[in-house]
Amino acid sequence: MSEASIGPELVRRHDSSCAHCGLPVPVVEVRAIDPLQFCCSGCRAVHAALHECGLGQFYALRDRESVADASGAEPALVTGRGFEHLDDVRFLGAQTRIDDAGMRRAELRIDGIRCGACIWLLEAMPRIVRGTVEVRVDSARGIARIAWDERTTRLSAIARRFDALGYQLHPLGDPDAVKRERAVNRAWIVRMGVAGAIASNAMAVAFALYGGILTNMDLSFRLFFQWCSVGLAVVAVAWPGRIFLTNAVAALRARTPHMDVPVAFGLVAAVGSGIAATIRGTGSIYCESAAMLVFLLLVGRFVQYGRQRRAREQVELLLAIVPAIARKVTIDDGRERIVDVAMDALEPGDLVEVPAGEASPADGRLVGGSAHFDLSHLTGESKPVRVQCGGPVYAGSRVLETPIRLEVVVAGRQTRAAQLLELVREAGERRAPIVELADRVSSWFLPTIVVAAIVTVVWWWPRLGADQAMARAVAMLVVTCPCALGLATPLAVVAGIGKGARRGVLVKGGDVLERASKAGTLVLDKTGTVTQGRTRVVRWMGAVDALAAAACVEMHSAHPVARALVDEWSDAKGGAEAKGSGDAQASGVREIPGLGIEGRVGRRLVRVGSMRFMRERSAIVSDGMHVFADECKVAGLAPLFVAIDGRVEATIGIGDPIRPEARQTIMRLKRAGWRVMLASGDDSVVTSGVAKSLGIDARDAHGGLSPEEKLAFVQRGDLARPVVMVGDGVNDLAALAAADVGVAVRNGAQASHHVADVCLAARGLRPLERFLVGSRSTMRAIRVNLAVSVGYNAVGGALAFAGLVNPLVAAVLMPVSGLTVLMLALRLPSFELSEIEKEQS
Amino acid sequence: MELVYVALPVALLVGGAALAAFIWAARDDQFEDLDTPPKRAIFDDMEVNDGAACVTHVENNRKNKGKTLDTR
Repeated sequence: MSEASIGPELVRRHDSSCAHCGLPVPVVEVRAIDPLQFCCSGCRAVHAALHECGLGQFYALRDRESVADASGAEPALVTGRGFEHLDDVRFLGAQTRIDDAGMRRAELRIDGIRCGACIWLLEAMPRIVRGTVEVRVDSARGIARIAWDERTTRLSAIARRFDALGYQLHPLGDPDAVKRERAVNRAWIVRMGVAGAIASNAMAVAFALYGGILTNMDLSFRLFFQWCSVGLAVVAVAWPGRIFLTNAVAALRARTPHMDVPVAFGLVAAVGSGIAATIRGTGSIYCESAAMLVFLLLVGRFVQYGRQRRAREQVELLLAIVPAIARKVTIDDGRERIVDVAMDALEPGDLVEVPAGEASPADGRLVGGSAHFDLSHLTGESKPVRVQCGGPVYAGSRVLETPIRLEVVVAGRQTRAAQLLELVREAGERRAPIVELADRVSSWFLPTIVVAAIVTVVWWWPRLGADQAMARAVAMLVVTCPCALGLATPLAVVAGIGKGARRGVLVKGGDVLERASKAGTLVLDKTGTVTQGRTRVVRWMGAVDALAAAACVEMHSAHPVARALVDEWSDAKGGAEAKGSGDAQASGVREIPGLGIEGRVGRRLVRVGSMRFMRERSAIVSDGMHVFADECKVAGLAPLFVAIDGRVEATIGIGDPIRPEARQTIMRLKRAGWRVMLASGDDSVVTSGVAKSLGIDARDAHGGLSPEEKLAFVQRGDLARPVVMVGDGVNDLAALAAADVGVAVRNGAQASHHVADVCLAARGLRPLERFLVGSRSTMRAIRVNLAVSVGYNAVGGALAFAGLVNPLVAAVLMPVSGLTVLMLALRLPSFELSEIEKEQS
Repeated sequence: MELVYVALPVALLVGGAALAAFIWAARDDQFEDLDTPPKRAIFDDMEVNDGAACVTHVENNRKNKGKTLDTR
């Protein structure tokens, strides 16, 4: 496909969305004559590189792949780094190998994969980059396997080419851990496959056995079938089921109660009595129940393990907050040189350069001039922070305007960011595990049937003789086979998770639904959850003319408040064409840090800034403006004044506007019994202003919280459980991991999705309410299913005790109970949303 | 009926062979990444143009970037 055939399709896109990533284009980036618009220079560079490489099909593919998934869009990142650390002999020795064909192979973490088109692009690299032999991408884990010819290229050159297309290669943090994890996963899959195969074969043998018992089959055949059944069950318990036995032994040694103790007891009892009965030649066996139980329990455990593995892997990806590579400044023969070194290799006293827009690799002291930093990762504070020369800079804080240099104070594991990650890991591990409802039920299930069977034998033996008593016991054991019970929860959970996913609520496991099904405490992060997460002009008062003049001056500043003002003005004027189309040009613009900005528009002197700025420049502020400014402050907005020729002509309330549906939703949640609290890293005054307009009690609004304080907040003992924490910043991570249920919002920090139990596809409170309603109704479905299967087993058991069910009927009824539960799970609407939808309309 | 003495072990053996094949597949890491292969299948029939232009483009980009860094 040539460039010409792809071009027109792109031009037809909406003017102000990025031609590469599809995100809206900021006004300052709009280029009026260009047919294609980009949101940042990264996207522009990647687009150009793709077309020059004849890889324009990327866009066609991408559009086909992810039309529905536009919310996952992110701008491309091109770092322009050298990646020299990938040619390091130590790295090549430890993490790469030479294959039979003489090519060097490495496994690397890759950043920037977003859709299927990325996989195509990366795997097409060998055809366009000389020396690259093979690229295989594992998109689920973000790993690329690369083979290259050392004679013609180096890994750093390949990494630079990947970088030019918006993908960054990083060494695996701990390659051995990756290998170990993979081995554990393999073991789980093998275990489950073996258990499944044995269970189905044991069932088939059981059918023959019970059928034979009914038709008075010869004893020799019966014993043959019994031996087969016993053999299969022994293998099932000894190989895939061994994990339950070892867990139980460990729990008994540690004298702690554990779910696996009754399970292990049941399994051993079932297999042991089966062996005894077969050796004696009389009596009943129920080995197929044991085999089936092993399989069903393993399926449940595997699902749980898969979730934990994902979470663990993603915690490693978190380290991406801090760049893995630092640009170290070295003095070589009196000349300065900049080399890329791995973050771990930095030592106190080193001098590093941080390009504008990138994050600092270590905690350090700023050298040279002052600079603005975005600390929202660490503190949640949305406003940029100014750091003076010599002031502290934390790893992970993003430099805003100019490249800076800093002297490293601590690096690696001692940085604040690394300690924060450590906190996340600990919080996740310390969370008290809940015993799921199904586990609680099944833990007494098997012992109960064993006891019931013994009672049956003991009761009937003196009355009807041994044979009759045994037949009834067999019937009881078969009719109460645990498959219905084993299926009841997983089916309802799968149905619930599936229905939730279609509504944009991604739940990571059944236990999450169970935990969130009761009303408890809901802790909301302010930014992005109840507010829109962007600094904007919320209200203003005064002359339109003044706003236009202010926008003209602010056009020259990159400060977020300036952006908000310019955006508001161009929106008011009707979109992107506003920029540079006949507006008066400002001249002599001067920014006074921390105060405001001033400049001339035409003949008028325009000043935009805080009250202090107005006072220092002795501008006249009318009473009306004062009153309006106070109103803004109460509503949690920062007032900004526009003075023209020494007189304030307009006042603007700048802030993060509250979502329109937030107040109503919070009211409904409160009615449903939730205690709604606000925990924000933002200033306390702003937080209580937001809480007030949302109808949240003042005592439940907490501002100015550090990540550690947020963590302590969700762990407070006086909060009603469950504690559901909603947040999307890196500063919320530890709290998300520690809360009973952590809810992340898509488009938030990537890392928060991985720590959280639930991801909402859209921002705002509506999807959150969906999740809470959905988990309640899914739990209802689970309870119905459990009740049905327990009821079925109780009735079946009672009938068998009374001798009304013979072994053959029981063997036919057994799968029917499973089918009943299956039908129920599919029919029960788990994500019943009609209640809130109706209420809203 | 005596046939069952042969038929059942044979059935179990066939099942065992299938299980062995499954275990081999699992040990070969074929269940490790279930997301990428289905997408890869879509791309197999797509052609890529000659890549000479790409190499020069990327290298030029890099040189230019280097220049701006030096002059700053």
